[in-house]
Amino acid sequence: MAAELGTMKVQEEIDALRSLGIHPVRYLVMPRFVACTSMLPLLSVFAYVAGLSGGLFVSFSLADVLPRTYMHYVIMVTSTLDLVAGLIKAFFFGMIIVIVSCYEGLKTVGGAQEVGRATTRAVVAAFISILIADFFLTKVLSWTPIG
Amino acid sequence: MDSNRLIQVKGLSKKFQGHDVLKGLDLEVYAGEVLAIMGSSGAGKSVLLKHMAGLMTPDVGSIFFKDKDIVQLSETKLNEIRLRFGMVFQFGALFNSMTVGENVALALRYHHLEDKDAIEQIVRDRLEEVNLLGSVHKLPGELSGGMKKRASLARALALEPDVIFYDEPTTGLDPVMCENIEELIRDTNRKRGVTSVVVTHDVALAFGIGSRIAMLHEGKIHAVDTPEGFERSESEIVKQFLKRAQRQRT
Repeated sequence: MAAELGTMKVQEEIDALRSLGIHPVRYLVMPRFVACTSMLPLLSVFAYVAGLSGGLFVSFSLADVLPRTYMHYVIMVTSTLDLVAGLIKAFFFGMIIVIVSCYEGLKTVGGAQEVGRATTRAVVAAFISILIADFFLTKVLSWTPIG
Repeated sequence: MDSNRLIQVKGLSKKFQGHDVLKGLDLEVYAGEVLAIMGSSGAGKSVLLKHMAGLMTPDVGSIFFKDKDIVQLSETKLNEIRLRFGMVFQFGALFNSMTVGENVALALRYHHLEDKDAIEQIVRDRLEEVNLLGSVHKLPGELSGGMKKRASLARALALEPDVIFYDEPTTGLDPVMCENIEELIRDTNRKRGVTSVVVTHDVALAFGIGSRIAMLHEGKIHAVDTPEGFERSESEIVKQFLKRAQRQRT
């Protein structure tokens, strides 16, 4: 997102949007925000399924654990609320990724080199922000019935 | 002449990283004219143009469009004014993920200004005007430099603007294509009665299309005159610029 918007910025496409009376944030950032905040929780669901299936396959093929036993223990140690907390976190992480990436992309000035720098800055800033947000979200969620 | 004034720039100053680009610049644009703004590279011509088009905010100064100071307007109000402007960017600034037709239709679709059939008709008409009807389904990456500029003009014309701003319309084009673009600007001005502000360092273009020429030098408008008046100018700066441009051409 940072690379795409950064390239649009240095090629004056953002100015072109504004010259047509189109607000770049509304036109470019909002759809990405909606897509990312809705798709990241769905991606988490995919990761849950992939992780559980992988665990099942490995434990069955390498440790001779029966699928029924595996699922029994998975259900025993995992609550629905754990899964919900994961989805909530994914929503917030999606939000962070969009805001940081789009901000870095839209403030790019210069040429191709600056687009590369903006992309690197976006990755680093999003990564650190997610780590910090994860800490606080875990704290906040632990005070709620979900935690 | 005052009643005919469309844009007035008053005391415009802009700094970039401590460097003064525009220093209290004054300029007036009159309805229906083609004003060519000349100046050497890096003089701040494009910065001035973007201020007039409402795409940049000055550090100091005012820009009036029909007696409304656009610097003081909110983004929403400014967007309404921007719809009265068309901008042709130096390298076209077409949206790379859209076809030429979609580029031209974008603002009409976004603002719901017309129904689907009417938009298709407008797109065809505008592209025909710039001789690009055959490229309606092409992506910007498949176009030459001149075609991109013509597509950019078609996009600017879609909203039937009062003023069209051209940023270096002939830069990077061969002489034949320069003539082509020059003709297109002249035709657009004549047929539509649209006011045009052209920023260029191409002296031949400025003299070819300009009803008036303004020369930007050291952050201010050094001289504004008709092409004939410019040729007779006694100013050393104007003479030197014209001589240099002449030398580059020969």
